[in-house]
Amino acid sequence: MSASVEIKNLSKFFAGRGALRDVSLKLAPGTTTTLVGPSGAGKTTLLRCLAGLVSQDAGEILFDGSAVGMLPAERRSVGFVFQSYALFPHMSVRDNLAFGLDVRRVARRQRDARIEELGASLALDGLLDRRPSEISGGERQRVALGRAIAHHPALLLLDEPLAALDPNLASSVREVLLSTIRREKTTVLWVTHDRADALRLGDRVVLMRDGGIEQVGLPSALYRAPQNPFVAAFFGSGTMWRLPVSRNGRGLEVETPLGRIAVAGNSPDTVSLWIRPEALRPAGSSEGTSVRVAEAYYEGDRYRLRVGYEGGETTLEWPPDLPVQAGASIRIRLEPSLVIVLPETSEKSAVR
Amino acid sequence: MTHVRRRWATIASGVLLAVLVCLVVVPLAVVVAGSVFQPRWLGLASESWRSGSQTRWFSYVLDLYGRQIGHSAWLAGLVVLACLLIGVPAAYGLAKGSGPTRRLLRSSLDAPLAVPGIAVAIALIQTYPAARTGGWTLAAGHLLYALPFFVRATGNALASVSLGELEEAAAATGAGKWEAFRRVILPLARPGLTAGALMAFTISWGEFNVSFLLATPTTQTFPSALYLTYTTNSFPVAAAATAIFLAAAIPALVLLQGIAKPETAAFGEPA
Repeated sequence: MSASVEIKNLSKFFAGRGALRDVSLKLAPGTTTTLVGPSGAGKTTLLRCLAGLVSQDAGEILFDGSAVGMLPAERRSVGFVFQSYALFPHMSVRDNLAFGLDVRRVARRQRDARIEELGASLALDGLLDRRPSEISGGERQRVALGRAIAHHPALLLLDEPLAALDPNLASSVREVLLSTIRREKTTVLWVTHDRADALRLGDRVVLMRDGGIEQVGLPSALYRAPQNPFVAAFFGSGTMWRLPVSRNGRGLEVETPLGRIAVAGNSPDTVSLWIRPEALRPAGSSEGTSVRVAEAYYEGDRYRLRVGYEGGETTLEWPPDLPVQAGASIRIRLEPSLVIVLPETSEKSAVR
Repeated sequence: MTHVRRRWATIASGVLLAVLVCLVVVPLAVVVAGSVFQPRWLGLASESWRSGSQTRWFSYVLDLYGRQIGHSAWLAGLVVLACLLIGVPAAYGLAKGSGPTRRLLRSSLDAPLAVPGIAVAIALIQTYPAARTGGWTLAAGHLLYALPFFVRATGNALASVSLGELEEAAAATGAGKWEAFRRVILPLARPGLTAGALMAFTISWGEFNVSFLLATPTTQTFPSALYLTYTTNSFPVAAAATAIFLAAAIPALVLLQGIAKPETAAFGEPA
């Protein structure tokens, strides 16, 4: 049932402003792609274009190779999960789940079997005869997912389905949604503003900014090999160092404020390094560099430290069993394998 | 402090209730009782009237005003039908529309309520003289007064849900325009729609100002006929006619009360 989806040069303008600018993207059948980006990046607009709830100004959308860009929403075989649930208040949970089957005139027995299957999968068994106003927020979102997938859509679209739920509830709903999506083997595009969700839920991750796609790839690629400082900064804090490269006998190396590291590649003059907190480790007394703790935040499972070195400041995580206070001096070292080397070519486009 | 305030509120609402009972319930009760028991102090009935049993008074009235009653019922039905045909799209437009269009539509719908019925009636006669004989101006006059109430009631039901979002959900789940209307919009509007239809019925059934001027001898309504009964016939006859009039209006009002309550509670808090 699940389709391969191809988005070709999609553009959409609202009041002359580009909400989507020449977006191209492919979704492999049965995979989950997460769509992240700052608010106003065009994530929801892209989702609504795919659903047919807004029409694009240019470009085409293909489901399994056939163009659907001009079809109204109801003829596209999509499922849509809204942040605000948008359940039909006058219908029972059962009728909400069955809505997509009922409008498609699915036979009674088939319909009932499907509702039973979804009820079990989404843990809604005892709630089928309730109204949406009589169930909790987490339950409503599970019903919303069930309604969106009951008719086996070619593409399932989720618009920040967990954003309205408190964190504890969100994590349990996330599990149910994810396991159901995997069982259904649907092609999924999942919009989230949560970076952690983007990385853990997606087979692939798309980062958008200003109506365009900034980077597409595996979660580890976006986190570990960002193409520019914007992508690097989006997925976590860090410090950028722009440093001269020198050549030694074995290859290229960089003299950083926290020690000397080797870098790969063919001899650029300078290199941009992105140092994430986990790239900085506690060091023994004989190694690393001494830095001064400017601020120490205790977070239970770790300390988060802001430390000053010669010429700058950075943050790092510190083991909870090594008590530390602001003003203390600690020794840290760089973990070379976790240092991110930003490609030079994207420098100009990144600094906007 | 709050205790004292609450006591004053109780007293005030008690007084209000007493006033309402004195002005509405008691006079109606007197009329109805008069039609049944025909006490001497209400005035004397004609000989032919007195000779029959009590239930014959009603058949007497029905014989006398059967045609007008029939016409009023037909007219009220016509008004309800027209309200459904015009009012449902209008209420939907009001619920979906935004800003200036919505304000314009709403005020133009409510405008007839601010114009005296006599003025509306004369304007209709002047502008569409030919339509008067068929009773169509009369129907139009009634519609002008019933429609705002119908649209308000239906529109309120639709405004209590996020209509745009539910329509999008319906479309994205595979429902075309008609399916979405039939399965989502209409059921959501139904509480207001039923209340509005009953309101339109009672408004048309009881309308006097416009009817009195627009009615022709063949299209006279029951309220106009009631007026003639009061001025030309004895009181017991008028009382019996009033009882029959109320017999149709009061059940509609009671039903209206029953519908008005669940309208607000039907869907719980918005999801």
